[in-house]
Amino acid sequence: MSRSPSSERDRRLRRHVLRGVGAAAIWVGTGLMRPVQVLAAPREGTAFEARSLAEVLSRIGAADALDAGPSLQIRAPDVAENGAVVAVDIVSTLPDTRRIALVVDHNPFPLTFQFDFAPEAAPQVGTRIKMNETSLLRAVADAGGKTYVAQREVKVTVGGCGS
Amino acid sequence: MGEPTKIRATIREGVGELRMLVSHDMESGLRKDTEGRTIPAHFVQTLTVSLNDRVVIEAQLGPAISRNPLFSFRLPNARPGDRVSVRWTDNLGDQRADEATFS
Repeated sequence: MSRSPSSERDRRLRRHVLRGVGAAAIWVGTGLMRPVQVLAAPREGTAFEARSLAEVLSRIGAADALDAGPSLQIRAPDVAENGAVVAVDIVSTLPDTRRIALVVDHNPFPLTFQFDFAPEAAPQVGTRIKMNETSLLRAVADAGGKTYVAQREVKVTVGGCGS
Repeated sequence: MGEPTKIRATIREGVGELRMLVSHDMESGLRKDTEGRTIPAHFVQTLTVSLNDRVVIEAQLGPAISRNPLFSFRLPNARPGDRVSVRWTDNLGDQRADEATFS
C-alpha cells in the first residue's frame, strides 16, 4: 500500500511526541509551548484545513485504506435529531492501533479529530460532534503499520454546524 | 483560562475509565451573529492526557467537536491513586491543565 510523504511524516512526528521529545513539533502536543508559540503553529496545509473529502483522505493516508470489518466500530445513532450534539464512540480492536481519526464527509471541514494512543491507553474514544447534515462517518485507524477504515451513515434531522 | 475541566477517573472491574468535560465554546467560525458578521473561530485544537506524567493520549481536534466537549477513554492498567492530567490548547493560544486521581 502506498502512503503519501506527508502521512509518513505525521507518523514519525507522532512517535516523537509520544516519547515526549517532540516539543518543537508542529503539533503543540506536549503543552509545553507558550501561547505565542501556539499561534505560531497554524494548521494551514494540514488535513484539518482541507474542505474536500478526497484531499482529507489523501492527507491522512486513508485514500487506499483497507476495510476494517468488525474490528473498527463506530457507535452512533442511526438518526440524530440535533446535529449540534451527536454522540459518537469509536472502538478499535485492530492489533497495535496507534491512531484513530474521524471524517464526516458532508461537514465543511470533514476531518473532525485525530487521537494518538500510547500502549497504556485502549484505542477508543467517545465524544460528541456537530454534523451539518446527513452524512457518512468514516473512522480511520492506523494499526500495525497499515491504515483501515470503517463507515456508517448518520441521518441528521436538524443540522448543527450553525451551533 | 476558562473553567476547570471536570474529570472523572474510576476503576471499574479492573479497568480505568476516564471521562472529562471541557468547558469551551467550540465556536466553529462558520456562524454569523444577528448583524450578519462572522463569529470568529474559537475551538480547542489539542488535548493531551497524561497518566502519572506520561503522555498516553494525544488529540488534534477540529471545530466540529460539540460545545463543552465530552471525552471518554479507557486506561486498562490504571490503578487507584494514579494521577491523570488533562491539558488543552485552543486556536487562540488559550490553554488549561487540570488533574485528578483514579479511585
